[in-house]
Amino acid sequence: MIVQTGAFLLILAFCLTILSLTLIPVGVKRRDHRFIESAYRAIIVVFFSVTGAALLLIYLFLADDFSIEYVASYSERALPLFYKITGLWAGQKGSLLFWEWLLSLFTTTVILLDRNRPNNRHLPIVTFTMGITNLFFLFLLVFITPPFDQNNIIPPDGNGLNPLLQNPGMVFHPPALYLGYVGFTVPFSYAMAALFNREVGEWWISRSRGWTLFSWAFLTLGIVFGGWWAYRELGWGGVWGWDPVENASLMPWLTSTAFLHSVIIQERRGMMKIWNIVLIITTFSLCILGTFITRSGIITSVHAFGQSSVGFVFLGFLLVILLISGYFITSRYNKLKERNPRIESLVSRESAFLYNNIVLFGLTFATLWGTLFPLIVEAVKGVKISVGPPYFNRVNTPIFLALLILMAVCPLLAWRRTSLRGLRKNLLLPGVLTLPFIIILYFITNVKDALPLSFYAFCLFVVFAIILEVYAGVRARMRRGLNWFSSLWSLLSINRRRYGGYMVHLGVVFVVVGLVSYGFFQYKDNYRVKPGDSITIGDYRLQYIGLQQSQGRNFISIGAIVNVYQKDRYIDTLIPEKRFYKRQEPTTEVAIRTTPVEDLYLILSNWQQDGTVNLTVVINPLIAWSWYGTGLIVLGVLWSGWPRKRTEMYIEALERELLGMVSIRNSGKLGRIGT
Amino acid sequence: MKRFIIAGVLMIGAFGYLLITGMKEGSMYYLEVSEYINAIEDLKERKVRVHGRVDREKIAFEEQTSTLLLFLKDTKGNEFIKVKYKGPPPDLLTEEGVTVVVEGRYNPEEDLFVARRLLVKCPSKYEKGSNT
Repeated sequence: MIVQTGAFLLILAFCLTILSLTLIPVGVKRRDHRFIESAYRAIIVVFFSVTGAALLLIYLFLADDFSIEYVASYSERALPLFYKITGLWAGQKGSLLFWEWLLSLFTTTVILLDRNRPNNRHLPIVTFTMGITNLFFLFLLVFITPPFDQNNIIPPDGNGLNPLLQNPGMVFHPPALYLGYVGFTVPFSYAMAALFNREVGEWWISRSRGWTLFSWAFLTLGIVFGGWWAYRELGWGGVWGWDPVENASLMPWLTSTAFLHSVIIQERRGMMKIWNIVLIITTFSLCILGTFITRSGIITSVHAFGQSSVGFVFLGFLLVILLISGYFITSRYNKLKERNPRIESLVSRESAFLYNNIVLFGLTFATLWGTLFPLIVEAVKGVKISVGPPYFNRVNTPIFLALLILMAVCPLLAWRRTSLRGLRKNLLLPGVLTLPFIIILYFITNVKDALPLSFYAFCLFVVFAIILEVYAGVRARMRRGLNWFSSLWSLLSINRRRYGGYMVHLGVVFVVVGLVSYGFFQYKDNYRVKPGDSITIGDYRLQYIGLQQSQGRNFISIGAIVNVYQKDRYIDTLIPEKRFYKRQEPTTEVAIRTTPVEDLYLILSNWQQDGTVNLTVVINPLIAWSWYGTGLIVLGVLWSGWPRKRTEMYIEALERELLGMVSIRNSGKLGRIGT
Repeated sequence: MKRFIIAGVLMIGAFGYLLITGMKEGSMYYLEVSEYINAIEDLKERKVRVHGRVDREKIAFEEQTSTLLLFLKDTKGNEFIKVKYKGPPPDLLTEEGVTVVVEGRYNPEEDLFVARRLLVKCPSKYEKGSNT
């Protein structure tokens, strides 16, 4: 009964979406609001139906109903409750249901938020665009990957969840990524509405800005959770391997980062209208392309997802998106070209944002190229090749450095035009503060190569530039009699977008420091030890005591007990394990001791009857900084996107007006008001 | 305008240079065992990726030097190459039906394939680990 209800709810949602998609054009054409209002209501009911279907699937997991093929494939009786609930997105069918649930939730939210606004003439088109996307996913759920399909023979117990996925990182990684992917549907739909209605000004950007920030933050989190999970669970000591599936999530992140920056120029100066629309279309398309890459199995990847035809349906959807968007851009080209001021100087904030965009686009292109190249070669020449991490490291590392340099310098440039003298003055102090640190780094530590040194240098430069600017702002306020804390608070609150952005930049600096240190200075070696033996690496002495066997809830584990001494002082005991789950291959459970300075990471490779083991010891310096940095990034996004008071908006409007006045006289001196 | 063009050309040049050198360094042939054996004359000592099945009877692990020696078979099972890899055998190496990918080059002195990386790919449904 429940099974039929679930399937029925999805069919209902599918039909209602079609209804809604028919009502909107009629309503728009006849200018009859009743049709449109009904379309909105239909979409809201879609959300409730999909919610019902998702809850039913979770219920079937909790009830251990193995007559359902999906439940039997990803659960078992002994699976902990938590993983039963998250079983919803353990496999492809459930993931798509979860995806559609988020999409219908967002569609409903957009409708509810915008419906009663006075200026909502674009909402029907936004809803229509999102409705099409809903229809696509519901089509998959009803016809291609029905999650409620039943087994012919009911197995006594399920297959169980892949042990590698029984980890908190893996539980949060997919939903965070989906929140990001799905979230970008909203700004994309607003962009489509802007094109359709031939109103290509800034309205669609500011209206969807909250969604953009939200999606970007979750995409960031999703990627980081993925790296964190790979680091803790896959037992290879790394966080990123340039695998096609990883690249698939990185590419929309890069283009959406470009989008976040370039919309600022349009909001400020009315430039880059086409570019921004292209960027959001690209971002949305890359989200879909990512799903195609992960689901079709067309590209050789260590992430072997179930290969199925779903991938090609996604490819078809991608083509539809590109065709429709392409049509709208060409047919609205003249409108988009109207009042598009030129960038006046090579050295100005506008051009800085432009460089940032070019660099981010270059990164995206290089990544896409490396990811798809094997496919192209195979199609053209019939030979299989593989593009490995050396390509991506070689190409992307210098481009990332360029991006970091831009991040250091650009906030110091003025809008319109920066005099070289002024720029020199702005660059001097942070540069002078950075220099001694780099000299110390070079002479005292083993950081000798130009590449990591430059990364560290520009990271420091960013930090100093931000500190100096905040310091100047705080001091100016303190002169007006405020104490330092309220000065700082009012400074950071008065222009949340700017200072939120700086917080994100600081977070990125932390992430970069973590990744550079791990990438350039990782230590990794294999050791063979008997019980009682010790390994000495730098300050560490690792004493292997012996093996232990223990019983977990749904697994048996063999662990190697290792006492860790630092400078001959006992600090910790680490137990890297191998776990044996029922009916699954054994998995490696690494042991990590995380400190802000470095991670000590032990992998138990194998063992013998006499207790001799092979241990792999990895030392990753500063890697934890990447995790801290991600926290700061999220904080910065929250700060920047938090709903503002009317006075703040007023100040911002005033600033913009001032800038307009300044522009008449075309002096660049007042250029640096706000971002 | 002229300066924009110069800047653009410089950027594209630098980008192209990176892309080309990157491809040289990072792309390699991805071959099956039999394809590899047929092409060995042309490939000589170039870095390649070879995939195949492990001969489960003939895996040797040299404890002292932590060196793994194995035979990689073709899917049809009639041709094979001898592979040397420095490092412990990964988890799923002897599991039934797994494909092993080795990355490295042929060493004519020892007459074997020296793998720098060894990856195990699984036939089952979800994400699997790799062992580098």
